[in-house]
Amino acid sequence: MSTPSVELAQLQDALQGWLQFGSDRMHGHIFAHDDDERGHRLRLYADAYRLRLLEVLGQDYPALRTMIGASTFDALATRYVAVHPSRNPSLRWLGRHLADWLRAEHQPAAFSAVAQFEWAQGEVFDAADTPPIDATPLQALAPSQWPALRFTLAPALRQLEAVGNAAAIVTAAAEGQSLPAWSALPDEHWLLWRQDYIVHWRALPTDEAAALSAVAGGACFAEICTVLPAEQPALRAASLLKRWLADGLIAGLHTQNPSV
Amino acid sequence: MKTSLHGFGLGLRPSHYESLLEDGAAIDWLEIISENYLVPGGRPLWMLDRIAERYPLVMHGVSLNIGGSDPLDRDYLRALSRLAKRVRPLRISDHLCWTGHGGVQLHDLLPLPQNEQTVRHVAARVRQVQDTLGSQLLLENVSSYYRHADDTLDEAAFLAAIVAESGCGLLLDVNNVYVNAHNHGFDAVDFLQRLPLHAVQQIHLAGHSDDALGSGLLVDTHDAPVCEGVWHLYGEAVRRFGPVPAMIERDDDIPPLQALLDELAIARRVAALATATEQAA
Repeated sequence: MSTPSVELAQLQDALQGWLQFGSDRMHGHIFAHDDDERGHRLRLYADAYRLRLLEVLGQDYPALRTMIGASTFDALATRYVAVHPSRNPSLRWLGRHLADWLRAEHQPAAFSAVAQFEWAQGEVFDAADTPPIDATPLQALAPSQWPALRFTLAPALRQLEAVGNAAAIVTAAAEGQSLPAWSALPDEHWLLWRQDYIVHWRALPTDEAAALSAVAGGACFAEICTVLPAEQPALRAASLLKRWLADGLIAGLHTQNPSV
Repeated sequence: MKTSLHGFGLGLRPSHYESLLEDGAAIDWLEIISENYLVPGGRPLWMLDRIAERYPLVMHGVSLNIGGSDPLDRDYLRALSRLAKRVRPLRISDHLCWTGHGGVQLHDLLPLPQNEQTVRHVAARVRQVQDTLGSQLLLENVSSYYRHADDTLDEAAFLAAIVAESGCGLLLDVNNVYVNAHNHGFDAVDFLQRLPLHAVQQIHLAGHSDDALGSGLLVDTHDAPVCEGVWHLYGEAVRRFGPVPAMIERDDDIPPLQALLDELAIARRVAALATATEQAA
């Protein structure tokens, strides 16, 4: 096992301090003929660090950046990375806290809603693969097996609520159209999922959102029926199940509790 | 599938996926950025699998932090190993630098103090990585904008010492040699002559830019065509190291695939000319 020298750790701490916070502890360690040269040599690293992180966040949140403008986005992103620097070898995860951070910073609700929607798009885009199943196994079930039937959802699926018309804003930004004004739409639920490696989304009726949440929570078919206000909840549940299967949302069927 | 790396390649970039799969291309191999595929699933890995069926691949990482003072990231190494099992790369490389400290990833290729202590530190970590991956690691020389005031080794001696002590190979980025020769005032051809002859197993060719604020420093942007000076230095590298597998590495302002294929054709001509003149000498 290699033990790094104290000097190496101190040098790295000093440069990191420069990159993240502009501290000047690194200056004395740089070979240069004068302060001007030393400043240029260090500036290139500070510029690269900041620009790289802002570029990645801009790529992960293109609609948010369009909606609030590049300068506002960059100013917020700069503050964000100071609080949430990257801690993963891949920059893929740099922006994972942005929506929560915007909310905690009391930024307008539109900012965090669009950020939440765009991050969910990314999560669905490269979530783990599972082969979806079709309705064939259901046809082999005896009627007595249906009430205890449970489901495993595909990993490439996210349910969102309270994101207003973020979907319309994201769509308009992607198409280069002028963005619609923010609208809170407090009761809307959204589903994002992936099929054939393409990310889709649609608004969910309230009862479907409740049923899907129940599925995600491990509810069995009989329990799912209890959250559906329909006159014939079993029929409604079966109808929803048919659509979920067609959309590739279901990765597993279990006639016993999968956690048992 | 080929089992040895030779010829001329390109860095795999998502904007070229379809062209590479639909048309095929006169490319001997492709280099992937490992971190781009350390994701759970979805389109990136699906495309990678299709590309891997068609082209030999090498893996090139940017976050190994081989010179870092934090412990090596075991989770990252395990993820690299899983990816290597998936794509069966002909080479695995990263950079001779540090990339993070105290658990924070800085996502830049930061220069190391060049002294014997760093050589021992890096070499020990290279051996750990090679044991974990079950494969020799290639380390790339990085562009840099400063040297540490108390460096006791120049860059060529630093690289040679790490190769000797760790058993790693070198990924020679000719553009980075050119940039560093300018930024630190050394002779690039002499630099090549002082690298261990058989250590260089892969070559990167890329473009760079002038510092926009007029410092006179060159910036390793990898966003432009290879310049005349780098082509000349590449010819010198071929004369020194032979027909080492070489590739164009474009990281930004990615042009259409054909533009990079045209640039690769220049690389083939430069290498052929250098080989011919070396044989005639």
